[in-house]
Amino acid sequence: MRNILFILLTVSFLACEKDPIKIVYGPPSNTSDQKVLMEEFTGFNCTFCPQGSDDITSLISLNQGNVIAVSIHSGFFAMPNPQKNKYDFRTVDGDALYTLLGAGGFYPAAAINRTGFSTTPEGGLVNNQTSWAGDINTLRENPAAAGLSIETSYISVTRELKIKLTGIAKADFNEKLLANIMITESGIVDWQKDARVETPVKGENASYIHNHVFRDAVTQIAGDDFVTNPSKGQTFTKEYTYTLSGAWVAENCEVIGFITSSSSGKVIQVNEAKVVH
Amino acid sequence: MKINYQCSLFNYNLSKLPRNINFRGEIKKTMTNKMMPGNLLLFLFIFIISSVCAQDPLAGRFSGSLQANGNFFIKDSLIGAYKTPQYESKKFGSELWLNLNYNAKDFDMGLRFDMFNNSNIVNPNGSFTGQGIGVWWIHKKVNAFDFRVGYIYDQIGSGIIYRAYEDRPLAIDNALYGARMSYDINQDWKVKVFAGKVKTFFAYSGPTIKGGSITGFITGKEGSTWSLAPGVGFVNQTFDDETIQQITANVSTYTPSDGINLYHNTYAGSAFNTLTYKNLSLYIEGAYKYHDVYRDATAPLTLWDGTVTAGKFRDDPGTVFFGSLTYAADKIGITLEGKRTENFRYRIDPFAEGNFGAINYIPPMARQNTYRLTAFYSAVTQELSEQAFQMDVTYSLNKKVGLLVNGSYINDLEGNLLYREIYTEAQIKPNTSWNIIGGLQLQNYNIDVYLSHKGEPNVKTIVPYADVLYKMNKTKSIRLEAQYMSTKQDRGSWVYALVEVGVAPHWIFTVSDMYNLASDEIKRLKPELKNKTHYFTAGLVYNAGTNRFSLNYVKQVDGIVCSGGVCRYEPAFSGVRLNMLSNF
Repeated sequence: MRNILFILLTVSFLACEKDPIKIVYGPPSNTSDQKVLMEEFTGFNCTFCPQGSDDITSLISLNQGNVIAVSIHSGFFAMPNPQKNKYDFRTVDGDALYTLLGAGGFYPAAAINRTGFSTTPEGGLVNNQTSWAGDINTLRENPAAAGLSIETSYISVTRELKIKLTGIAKADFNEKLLANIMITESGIVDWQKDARVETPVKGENASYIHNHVFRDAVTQIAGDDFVTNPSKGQTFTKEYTYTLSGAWVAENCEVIGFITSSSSGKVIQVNEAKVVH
Repeated sequence: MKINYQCSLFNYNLSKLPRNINFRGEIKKTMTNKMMPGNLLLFLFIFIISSVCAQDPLAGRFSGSLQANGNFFIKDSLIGAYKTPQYESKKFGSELWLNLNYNAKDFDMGLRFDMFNNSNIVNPNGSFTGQGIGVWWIHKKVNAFDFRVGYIYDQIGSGIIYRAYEDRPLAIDNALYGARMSYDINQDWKVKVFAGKVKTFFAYSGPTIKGGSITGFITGKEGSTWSLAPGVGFVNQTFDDETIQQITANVSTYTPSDGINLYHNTYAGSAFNTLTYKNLSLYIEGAYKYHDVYRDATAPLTLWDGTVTAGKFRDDPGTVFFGSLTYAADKIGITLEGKRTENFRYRIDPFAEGNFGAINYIPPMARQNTYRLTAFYSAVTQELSEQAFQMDVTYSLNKKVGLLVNGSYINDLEGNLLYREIYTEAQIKPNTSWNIIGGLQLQNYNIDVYLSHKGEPNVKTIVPYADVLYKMNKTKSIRLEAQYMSTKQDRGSWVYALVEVGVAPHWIFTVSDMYNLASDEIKRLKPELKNKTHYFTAGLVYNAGTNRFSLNYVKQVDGIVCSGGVCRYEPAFSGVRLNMLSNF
């Protein structure tokens, strides 16, 4: 008996590693041309989401603008409080993204270039904020496989918005690439639960500033056909005309464009442009 | 005071799955080819059994069970039962488990088919589809040597360093996919080792796990009034390269002051013993975990721009000390329990939250209540910081009257109140026709910690309840339940009533209603309560031999559902539930 116990203890101690894995700590190197799309799921009733929004602001800054955020209000936590909220940020397309990206019970959560580093219980593509910085770092270690630029022109009288996407393949693709466009609005003041607030009402911020609020998808939720089997160096364009809702402040709106893979669904490249220059 | 930094629909013990299933419910490419095809397994199972039976048809016996659930979702925006895939488009979701077991002398084997069809059991707010062989196993005992391969449910001690188990209502099934071998050194001592990966629905973890235990039994000479049942156990987890890379990618973004020591291997060990002396029984267990990386949603993390955020990976060692003293005599039974938990979140994948990917199980320190309103606020086990005591006393005045008193005292390690409960119950059986149960429950519940209701005061409840069963004759009975929860916090007071009519041996008919009595002040703070709603339920159960069928129309308020201290948030439900259970 003693012998067996001794052997087991000896084996377990012999198996111990002496030195930890070497980790090099540091801020993002920002040498890659790969931009990263953060599709964050949030809501008025999510008490920890304002902290998540601040983290996104930091990540955008640390990555020198190479992180592009969309805050999608959908799901249980996004239901407005009729006594306190002026707006309802939920949209049909936002709910479709909730399903497409597999957002679940944990908020704040975000899909990072739809890469699925981690999954929600039903198998989604969103991840919690503890992992956001690392996921972005991992994606930005490699050069982008495509470039994307966005041109916008806006006529304030008619609120007509013209959007032109121009992509360039930086590698050979053997699949169809999809074009995606979203409209976001920032600077909207409305009530929000906020765990950090102590006064005047603990846990609530009546004049919270909501940024990157998802307003609508110009393209289909799953993306529109952009180009098929582009070879390295090939450019491709697609144009859209869209009428901006009168309820939105055009000066605070942005166009988020991104290219996705038709086979994996992952975001290949993303960019943003102001509606009003 | 530590607070949770993530809003959850499940609660704080549930989580993301280990990263192995994509959003379509398919196993990710990185995890494919790791499971034997279901058809091949089924063929193998039938082939082996056919071979055995062909040699000796009476050699063994089949047994099994079938459990099936079907949920028809009927949208009801008044109670919040909407805006999920089930209510908006799927409309129907189901789950099914078919167990087949074959046993012959010292040899047995089993296979389980699992099916999730637009099911919300994985994520109550989502939809999951997948089907296949959920479990298979082969077990053989050769004299003192015992082995089992396939999927294995087991635990070490009380489960603090290792427990693989299934809890279907909570979607927990963390079986070990691997092998376990044990050897009876003699009549009293046994050594056990195991190795494998942790199951998650139809896939399994990247990291591997291995462990073992030595357990024994010591007593005095014949007629001795004392005995000891000591044991030691250990668990070693090895992260795979993908997990190491992902942890490194995340942690490398930290400032050095938040850095961790990351190793390929984590270790946990425990020592435990049950001392029995006459009517007394004392169980103690101490557990230690080190080199593990776990996510702490409350820990401050300083970003490179100086911003302080919450939530990071930590590597601090974890400890759990647990003790349970039981005294049992003719009329009285007393149980005293204590537990201290620090940094003992133990997951096969550090990215997994809550219970998914759980390696272990920490015993709860609050009574597992069953009545609707006494179970409305439940204290989920806190894995990172908890110190708790529980007392349970039962006393039989005579054959007709029994009494029970239970008390729970739970703080975090900083001394902040998490949970208090006093639960009393009296059971009176004046004759064979009547069975009367009644009592009172008092609670003080930290809704800030348990439900992330930041800024809300602790919920203090008083819940009187009664349960009366009257048997009219040998076949007909009626049971009445009445509960009232008085509270000025959260959603205010509730009342609940149930009538159940039994017509033996086949039928049970049930009708119940739950109604909110929130004050005007609460309704001002929570406008959603203005739409007064009856949470009405009606249903029937039909029993036929070992088959049981139930059909219920249900309107259910959202709330916490717990099992053994492990809980999750269930959104409001509106619809029809069909359940079937068959044992054969």
